[in-house]
Amino acid sequence: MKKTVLTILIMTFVTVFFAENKNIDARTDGVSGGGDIVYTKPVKAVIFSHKLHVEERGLSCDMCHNGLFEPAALKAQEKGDFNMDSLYKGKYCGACHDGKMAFASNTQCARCHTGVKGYNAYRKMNPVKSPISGPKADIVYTSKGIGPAKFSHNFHAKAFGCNDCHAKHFAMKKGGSNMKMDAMYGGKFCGTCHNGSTASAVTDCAKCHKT
Amino acid sequence: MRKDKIDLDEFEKEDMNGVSPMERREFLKIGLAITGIFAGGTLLSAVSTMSRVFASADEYAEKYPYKPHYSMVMRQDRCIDCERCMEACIVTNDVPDYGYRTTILQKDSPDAIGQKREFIPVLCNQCNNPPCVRACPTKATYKDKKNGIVMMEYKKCIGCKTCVVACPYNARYFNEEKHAIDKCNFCVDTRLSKGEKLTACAAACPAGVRIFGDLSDTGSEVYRLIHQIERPVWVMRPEVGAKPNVFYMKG
Repeated sequence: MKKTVLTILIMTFVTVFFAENKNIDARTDGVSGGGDIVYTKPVKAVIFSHKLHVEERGLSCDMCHNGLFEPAALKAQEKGDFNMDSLYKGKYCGACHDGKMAFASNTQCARCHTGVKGYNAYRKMNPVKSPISGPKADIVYTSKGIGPAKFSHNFHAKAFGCNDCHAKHFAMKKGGSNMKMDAMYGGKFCGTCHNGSTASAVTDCAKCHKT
Repeated sequence: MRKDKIDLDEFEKEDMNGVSPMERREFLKIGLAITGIFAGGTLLSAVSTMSRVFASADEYAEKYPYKPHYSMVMRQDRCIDCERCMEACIVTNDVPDYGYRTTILQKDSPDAIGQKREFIPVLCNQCNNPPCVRACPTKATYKDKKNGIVMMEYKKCIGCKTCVVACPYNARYFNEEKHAIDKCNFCVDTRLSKGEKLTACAAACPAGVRIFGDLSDTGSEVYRLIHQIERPVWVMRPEVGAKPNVFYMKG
């Protein structure tokens, strides 16, 4: 009888233990998706550590996403109000870094701001990765009457994920989109971003048609 | 023989009460100055150690020798090493990549609680007692008589680099294009003489680290920041006795 109780106890303990571990694993996976966020605007540079905030401080994803920060990395710094004044008003990092929950955002400047020196050191340790999949070589679009336009996957993949362009703006198959400049002027294909505000305008011919 | 009794109380006292404070001060100054010379120290350091470190000592405050007396106060803890000051300096003063007129040092304190790094902007301290000027054999570098900026006359410079060694603040470099030593001059030629009120670095700083102004003007921010006792103000390497005009503080 005693043996049975002991076995059950051990079984329960082991199950609970593994269940706990599974949770931790799941969380770590989420973190590796976030990783370090390197902000370079409006000043160079602030490195936000998901590891520190989630693993060490135990914050859950929904504490920041999507209320304070969009899930896609670096969207915040594209906004005009991503600055210290907003933080003091409780936006972005300032929601917690108010002197109560975490150290106030108007103190210890260089705790978050690693500066150009910190950025360079970080980049040395963590070089910008080229896309893991997808063509490394430039895609060359030939056209009549003007030199070929080159598209660099390497360059664009530094800032964007695959699904930012595929397959809503571009078919996966090379040359499968049947692009025309007129369509781009209308905000399609490259024109989705290259509209003169998000990125350089498609009317700047020589930017892509270099020869 | 009976000796007359002397009534000591009738004698006039010969203590310090009979000496005016000013006389006493002058006398002490002479004594200290002489001691300073014999001890091999600088005369100024012997007269007042305070004036060497803090501008807020009365004697020093009354005697800002230049008009305007250009000065910079670094609110050090605000520096985030964005290096916009360095970029602005390079563009404004055509500084090559092998040298600098201003730079930012990093100091790490791994055992500190919370913030573990500090950034310290540095530039020429435009010293009142500049070791570089003393060292220069051709008088190519000199103290401007009007505004106190340590200037370079490139034509006179023979590139011996004695001043580079003499400078306690590492603020000089050899400019190959000019074939002369180059250094920060508070943008006097590129900005101040053109009516700008700030140096390029001070204007570019987004965090209000570099406060630039005229120390002889009691209404200026630099004067206000230095002549207060709530927050400590210090200078780099005070032991050199160069009497720098770049001050540091936090907060």
